[in-house]
Amino acid sequence: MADDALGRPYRVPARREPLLPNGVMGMLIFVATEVMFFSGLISAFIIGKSNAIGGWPPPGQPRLPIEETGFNTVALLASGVCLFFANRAFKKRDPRVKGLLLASILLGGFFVVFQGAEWVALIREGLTLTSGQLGGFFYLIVGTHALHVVAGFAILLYTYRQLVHGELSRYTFWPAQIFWYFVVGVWPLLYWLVYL
Amino acid sequence: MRTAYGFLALAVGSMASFAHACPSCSSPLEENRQAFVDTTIFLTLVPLGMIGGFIWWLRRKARSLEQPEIAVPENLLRDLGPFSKKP
Repeated sequence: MADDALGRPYRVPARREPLLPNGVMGMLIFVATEVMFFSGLISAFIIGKSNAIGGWPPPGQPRLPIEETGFNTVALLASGVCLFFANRAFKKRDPRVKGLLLASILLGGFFVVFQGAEWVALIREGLTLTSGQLGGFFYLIVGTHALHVVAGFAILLYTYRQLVHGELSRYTFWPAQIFWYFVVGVWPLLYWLVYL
Repeated sequence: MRTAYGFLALAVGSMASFAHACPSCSSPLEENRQAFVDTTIFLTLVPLGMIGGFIWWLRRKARSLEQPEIAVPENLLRDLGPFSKKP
């Protein structure tokens, strides 16, 4: 039956959600700048590595702990997987979301602590920021990533606090996930370039 | 006078020598030159890939949100009060 002046039936418009929430848009722009920042660091490292006389890693420098950091990499990747499943549980209002988010945070914290211990060992072996190209690039690239992990860790703690208080919205959780996935996703590339 | 300025500009121009601003461009190491080319390609493609990927994802999301409007059954529209359309 035609009901309005133009002969169209009455319809109730469906409620529309924003195509891209402001928080998500802001985080995507931020992550894009971070991708370019890390791309610059990686490019500088590749140029520096190719310019090294005597091979890479430079002779007389401590070896980087490949196996230990490989294990740490698995922990960080597991943290990203936990966050993925936490998001799925959050969408379904599954109570397991708290445990999964906490596991993600703890694995991220483990990564930071393990990295700190690794740094202490390397500094004792003589690898410092000024000891050579290897030390300079290592502490610059891995240190910058570590700063991002600490920031992501703080963001995840904030989301966990909101979740516990029943105040977490998906518009808060979504940007936090984007940042953490970036931090987790960029690490295997850095590990492959710097350590292997 | 103009001719003099022209000759001066030509003389200054002929004094310019090769600028070694890029340490990799004139490097004797082939590996270093190749690394310079590779990173240039990498730094060019990364932003293009990000922008392209973002536009692709946004279009895909916009299409998934294009849901048909919900039609209300006519029997519900008839008795909604004095302002409802009656047959």
